[in-house]
Amino acid sequence: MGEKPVGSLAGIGEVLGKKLEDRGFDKAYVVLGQFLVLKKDEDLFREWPKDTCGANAKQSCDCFGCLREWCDAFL
Amino acid sequence: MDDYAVLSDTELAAVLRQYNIPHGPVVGSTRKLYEKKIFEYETQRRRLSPPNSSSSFYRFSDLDSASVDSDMYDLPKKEDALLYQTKGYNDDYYEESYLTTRTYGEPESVGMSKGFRQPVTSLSDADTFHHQVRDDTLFSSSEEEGKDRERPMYGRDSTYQSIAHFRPISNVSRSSLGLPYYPTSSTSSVSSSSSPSSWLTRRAIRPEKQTPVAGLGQDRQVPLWGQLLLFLVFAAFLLFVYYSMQAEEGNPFWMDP
Repeated sequence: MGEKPVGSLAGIGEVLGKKLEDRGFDKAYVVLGQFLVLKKDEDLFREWPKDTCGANAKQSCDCFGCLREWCDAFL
Repeated sequence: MDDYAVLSDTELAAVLRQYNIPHGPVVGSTRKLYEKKIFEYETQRRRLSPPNSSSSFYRFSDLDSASVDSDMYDLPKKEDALLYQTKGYNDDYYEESYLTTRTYGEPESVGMSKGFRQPVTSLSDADTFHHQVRDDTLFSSSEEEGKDRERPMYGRDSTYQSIAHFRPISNVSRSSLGLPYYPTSSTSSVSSSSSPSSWLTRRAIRPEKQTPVAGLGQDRQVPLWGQLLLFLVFAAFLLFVYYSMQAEEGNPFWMDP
């Protein structure tokens, strides 16, 4: 994951990426941190982008899936 | 919702634990989310707490409402997701709150909890079979509940009407069978209002999963082997016609020299 920007996450495009950056989630690992703080819980984490940057259900779902797989593989 | 802002992080965590809401640490980035969750939970509870608690339907019901509820854990996600997608009922918060109850630990908290928000899948035929079967079994049990619950469900009729769109066959047919004394217009609402509860218990009846599929096999007018036989006869006939139409060797003229 390194220093990849938050837009490199699945479901996070340019607009959402910008909004997340404004909230302080400027790197993918910060969102990963949020995912972990929410204990990798699907329900909680899928709600979080909706509140934070106005993501829709599909985008949240994609982002969740992306992070979950990363965690399954590397964590 | 601002009431929760005065609570400290630990107090907020205590409230979350009290409500059995699965949560992680309450930090700056998660606080708002948890406050929202608590708010939704209490709103739901206020909205759903009716005088009668006979039902399996209410997810916050403290009653041990019957063994019917006990196996509600893998609720149909697909239909409900579709249901909640089509309604413009409340905010998105409403939809999400039901999603969260999926992970709640209470055995008696049933209800429309699980996985409402999985919109990706579409209904498969197998699922419609499930629901058609389960509608039967559940209609008998939940009829009473449906009647009672109609009043408290007032706010949700619009929501449940949308079920009828997705399940016209099962709902209408079952409702016409199950509730003859209701006028047709309200039948769908009653059936739909009880159908979420029926959905909840629907999945539990796994053994029946096989029967509707098997049952449909017997509905053919002509048996399968008969159809295959007819097909072969027809194919043989076509082959016969084809070969007979091919030009014969020799003189095409019929006239004798």
